[in-house]
Amino acid sequence: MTGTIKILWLYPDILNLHGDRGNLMALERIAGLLGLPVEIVRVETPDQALPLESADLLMLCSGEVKDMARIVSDLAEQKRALRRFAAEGGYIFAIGSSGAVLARETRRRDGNVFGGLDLLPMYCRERDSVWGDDLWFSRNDTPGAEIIGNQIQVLDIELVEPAQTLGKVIYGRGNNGGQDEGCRAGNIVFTNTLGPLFVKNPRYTADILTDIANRRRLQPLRQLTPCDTEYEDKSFVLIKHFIEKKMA
Amino acid sequence: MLKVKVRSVNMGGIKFFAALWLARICRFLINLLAPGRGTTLPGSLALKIDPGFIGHFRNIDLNKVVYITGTNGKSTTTNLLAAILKKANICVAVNLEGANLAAGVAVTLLSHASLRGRFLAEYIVMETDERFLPVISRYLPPARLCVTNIQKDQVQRNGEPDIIYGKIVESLKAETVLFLNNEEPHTVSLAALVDKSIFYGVEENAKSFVKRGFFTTTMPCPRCGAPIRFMRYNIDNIGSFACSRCALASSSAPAYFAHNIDYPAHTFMVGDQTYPLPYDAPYFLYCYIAAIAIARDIGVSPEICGAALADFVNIDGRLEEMKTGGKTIHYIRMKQENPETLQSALNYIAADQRPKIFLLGLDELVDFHPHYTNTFYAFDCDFDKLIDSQVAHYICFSGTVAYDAANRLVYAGVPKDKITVLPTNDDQAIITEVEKFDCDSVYLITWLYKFKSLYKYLQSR
Repeated sequence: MTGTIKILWLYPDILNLHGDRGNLMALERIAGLLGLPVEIVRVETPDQALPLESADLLMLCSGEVKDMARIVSDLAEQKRALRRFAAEGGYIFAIGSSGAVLARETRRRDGNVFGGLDLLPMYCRERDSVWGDDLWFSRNDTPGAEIIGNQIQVLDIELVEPAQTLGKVIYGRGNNGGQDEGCRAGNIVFTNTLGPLFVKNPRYTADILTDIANRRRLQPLRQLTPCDTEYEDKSFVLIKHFIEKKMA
Repeated sequence: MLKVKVRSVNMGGIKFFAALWLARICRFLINLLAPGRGTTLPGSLALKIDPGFIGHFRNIDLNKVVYITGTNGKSTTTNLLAAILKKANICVAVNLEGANLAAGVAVTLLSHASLRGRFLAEYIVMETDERFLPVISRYLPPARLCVTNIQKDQVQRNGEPDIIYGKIVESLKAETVLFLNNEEPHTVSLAALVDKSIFYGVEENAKSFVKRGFFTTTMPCPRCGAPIRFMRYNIDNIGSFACSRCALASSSAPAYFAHNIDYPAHTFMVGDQTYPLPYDAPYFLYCYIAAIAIARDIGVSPEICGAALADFVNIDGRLEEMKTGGKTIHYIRMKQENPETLQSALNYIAADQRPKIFLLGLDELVDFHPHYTNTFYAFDCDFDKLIDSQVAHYICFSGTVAYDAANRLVYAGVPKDKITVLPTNDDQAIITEVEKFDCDSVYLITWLYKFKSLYKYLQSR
């Protein structure tokens, strides 16, 4: 398996609530810095069949909660194919409210409940009020590595034990005000992190692309250098300082 | 013809009078001791004493209550409509200072009432915050409601446009006459909820544009969730559109349509009438046509509307200028949690093809607690037109998020050697950097408070 890393950008006009197209720009940019060929394919609507056979990463960006039930309903027919895709090492990323698509179930404020694709062991519950703040957590998969961004929390997340999390909260609300941030089952990943996530955390982006490249037996031509990530690194320092003042 | 309804004598009794008189005393004391400060405090006091205060005045003709709400354009539209009605010798109570929460509405009403609670103006024209519209409408329902647009804004408290959409829907009655932006999908979809809607819009013009880039995104249809397609944009996310699935679409002939827009001549037409165009940034056109639509529906003649427009001076702080050395710094206000205003600001600058310095001051967001560092809406914006408009150098400043702003420019293709990053909010440092460059035109996008700080610093030199 070689060729080009293929990223499916799901429903760009529907799921773009928080500057999320920056995530796709970052995947393209970081792949370019690594010397990895990447192709981003827009999948415009949930009733389109997903070309999973050649895809490596599916991106579900944040959107309005009201649209999630419809997305789940349209994708339901492809649920088995999505499970198989993930089982074979494909990445499925959901950011913010689109976690409802991958979850078991979401309960809205008015009491209505809609089912998700049940690809992650988690439940979503719509909050009475929005919580917006910075988010900073340590990655579980890489000791010492941290992720920084923001969260606009419309849904609280309850994990079904023994679910794996993406990281441990240093600052922020995480899933529901506790220590946990995100949820992970193999390469199916949910995170609350906005920013955009892949822009503000280029090394995390590079790790994902490198993992995909290894799977495809592609060799990155180079690694990220401090010069490549100068602005992101300096931003991290300043925002960390800002957050530490809040924590004091 | 609207049914005449005049509020009856039953007004809330002792609590109302206590609220009215104490609020007036409070207002008097504030004007005496600290003029210009705490302008809504009397209103807050009144509402604490009588929560139904704004609904308890005598002699209010409910047919003459007009609210203007929406994400952007409320203040300008409200101010212009008030100016038109005043030009027509109609006595109007209006919250000109943008005090658009319940307390601001309360202050405006008590300022136009007798000691006995008799309302003394003829019309009420209020800018109302979208979130507080249901509360205000419960006590004083509008006969006419203008919804300018519903967009991503103040995401830390609003979360998503659907939450604001729900607030506006909550305040509607079937008999409310809606004035709706024909080219904004969310507002157009509100028409289905009332008996009568009047649409206003703007023709494609010299500053209209299309978006073709791979990373272009639009929005989900508020009715069916499918992607909205824009055939062209007059301003960001507002333009001729159609849903890709259902019938929601803009009309080619709304009732009030600004056409023949001549930016160099500063004129536009509505029907056969030519109007002056005092401020030629495209987003102002929507404010003008909205105010004209409401005024014409009230019965004001086109000639008087035109005369009011000719005299119209907009509220401070949208577009300003200041000087330093031989340089002119053009300031454009933006709302960091509303990508449309940032994009409009970028487009405005890009229309000037002369060499310039671009000064960008995104900052920490401190309107609500907790303060935080959201700059992600910069990624909703396109910078390519700005980059193509002869920007000699870019300067990003902020104590915390300057590198995030600079990174957005890098993502847009600006080479790092054309960017200066100042991780500071110090006025002197910012101006010193600007003065290093041999370019007499500077465009500044930042928060109003930062512009005022820089202005004050330059005045003091």
